[in-house]
Amino acid sequence: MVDVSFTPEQNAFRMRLRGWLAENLPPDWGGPRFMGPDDDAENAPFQTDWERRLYAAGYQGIHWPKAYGGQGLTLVEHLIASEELGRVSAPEGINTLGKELVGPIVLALGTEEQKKTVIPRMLRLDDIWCQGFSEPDAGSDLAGLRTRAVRDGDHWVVNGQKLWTSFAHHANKCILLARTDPDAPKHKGLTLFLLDMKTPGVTVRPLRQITGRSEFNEVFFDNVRIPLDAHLGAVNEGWNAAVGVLGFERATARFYRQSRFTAEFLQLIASLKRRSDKAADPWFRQRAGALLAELRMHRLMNLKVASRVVNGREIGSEASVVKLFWSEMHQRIMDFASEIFAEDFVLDLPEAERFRFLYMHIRAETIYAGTSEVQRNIIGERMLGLGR
Amino acid sequence: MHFDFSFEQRTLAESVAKILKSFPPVTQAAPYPYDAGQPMKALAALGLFGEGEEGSPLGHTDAVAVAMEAGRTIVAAPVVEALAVAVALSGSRPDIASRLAAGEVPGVAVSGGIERIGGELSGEAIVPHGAAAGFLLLPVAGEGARDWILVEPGDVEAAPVETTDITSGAARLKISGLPAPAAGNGADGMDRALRLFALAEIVGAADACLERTVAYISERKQFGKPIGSNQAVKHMAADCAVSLEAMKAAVEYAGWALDEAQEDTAAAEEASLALLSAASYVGEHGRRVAERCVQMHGGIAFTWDYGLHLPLRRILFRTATLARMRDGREGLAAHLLD
Repeated sequence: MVDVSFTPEQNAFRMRLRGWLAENLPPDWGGPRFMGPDDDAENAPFQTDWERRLYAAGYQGIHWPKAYGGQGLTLVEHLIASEELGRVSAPEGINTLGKELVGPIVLALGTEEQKKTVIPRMLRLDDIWCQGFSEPDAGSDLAGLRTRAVRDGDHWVVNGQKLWTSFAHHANKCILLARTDPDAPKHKGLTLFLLDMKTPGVTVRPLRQITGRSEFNEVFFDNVRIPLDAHLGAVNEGWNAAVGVLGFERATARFYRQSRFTAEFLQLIASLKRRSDKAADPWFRQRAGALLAELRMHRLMNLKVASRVVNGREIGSEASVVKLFWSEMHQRIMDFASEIFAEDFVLDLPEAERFRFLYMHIRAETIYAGTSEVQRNIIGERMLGLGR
Repeated sequence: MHFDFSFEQRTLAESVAKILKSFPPVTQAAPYPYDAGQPMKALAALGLFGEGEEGSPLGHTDAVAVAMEAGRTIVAAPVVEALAVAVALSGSRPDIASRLAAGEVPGVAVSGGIERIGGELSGEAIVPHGAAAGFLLLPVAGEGARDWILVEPGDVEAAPVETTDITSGAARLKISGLPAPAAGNGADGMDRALRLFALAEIVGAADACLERTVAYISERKQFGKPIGSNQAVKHMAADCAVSLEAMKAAVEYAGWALDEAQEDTAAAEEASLALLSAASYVGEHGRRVAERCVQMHGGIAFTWDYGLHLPLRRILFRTATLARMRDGREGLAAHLLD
């Protein structure tokens, strides 16, 4: 049978977290202050503290094994927690790359030693992670990256430059994708490494982004010497490893977006209601209905992904389908915001502040983690079997 | 949590597909040469509508799986209508159940307006396969709640009507001063079932269009390579695939939600939202997928004989009568704003 229900235990889990959030969210959360402190120096400890409290309460690493500090539950509980955190637009973490990317890769490919060291420290926020994948000349064509790691006695020596490295200015650890065999075809000679950002030769330079904030960076590697056993998974097999795990993560790590987007949308609806002429206008009503339907489709897609995983099936191109769907939908929601607020969307009305910021901020969503164009290629080639 | 059809539901859908595919493909326009009675008898023989007066064993989700197959085949028979009668009425109306189970063609109004004034019915209705209908079910407004009422074909005037969907066999019924039978069985369940299965049929039809299109653009070469390897075409196909994932989830979920609502009235609001959302999304994207499939094919799709217009016509017919995105969206807006 089709069964889209949750068990009584899962519903109880949801209500426990809902109660915990009601008591533990920062005061006034839900007012105009949705994004935490504007100043990055204040925001970083705020985010760190929030994630530590979530961990202490048992709401991090939910579907990760208990042996490494996780909660040992399933992807369904992970989805439920994501929905509840998104529903109240809970603060976004500072260690999201660790938890959404590094953790799953380490759990899939790491040695026992790596799992035992990396995962618990990540969950406790002892380590904050960044991701050194993209480069100035290797964006969508990631496998064309040039950063080299060369063996020299009992070390690897890394040289190169990474770009769009979110959280690098806060991170003390980095997962790096580097070329270890320059003679192999470009997808074959890549290796994943785990390294310490304090290693001599690592330089981080923040980039100011379209919003005016600085959340990502350029990272330079100048003769950086890292231990020989710092690689994750087999040497020269980093590409397939990274791509496999990234595909899964693209589908599951960010379930919270759906309920977060819904919370944003419902805030917009409240603003629309306050403008009674627009709330009665068929154009606004049609757009409101269309977007609610799309938000609900997004949730159904997430439920399908979770259902597939807990029923023992693989996740493939679904990840690209969902990512393409939500990223473009989210931008349509901001278009709707701009119509609701009209000139106030670009002026200083506090009610519109969140959406003014988000409009700029989410230009990134159709670009990062594979642009919409790359997702369409993946869907066309891997799901539909069309030629290159 | 198992958000997918079960093995039994897949088997059922496969059996239905096999039956529907055994009828000659629809390739000609009017005069209407198809006998809707044969496919209906074959589906009844499969046990889809139960035995005698017992009523159909199908739930909403099962019927969604079957309606999607009807969309994939575009058979000239009122499968959607029969499913709605089976799921929404046959359990409480032994008289209707036995006629459906015997393979009679149900003539179900999908458009029009019939009113009860005093003890009489008057108005017009559009009924797919009206000429072949063994019994008619008409939605009636007027004094009291809206209702579905059983009418005998001999009691009404029916004339063939040309519709966009040349496979619909539609008839226009004209009723004037017909003595109204006793009250029927309430409108909500039948309305919802009819809309949901029409949406599911659209999704199945769009799915088959994309399947056929992907095969074509993988073969068809221009400038020395398959046209589907060009990003402009590939990306259009990818967008269709994304819409289809959402559409399938929408009708499967709405089916589940309606089944839940049978036992739990608290689930009724969620079922209603699920159905409105499906109408909003499928009402726009069902036809959009079929239109894009015509575009991706190029000139061949514009020919009558290639037949890609048949699912497009079916989708357009269903969308305009039972699956209007505007209605879905206004319903959701009312939930949000009023």
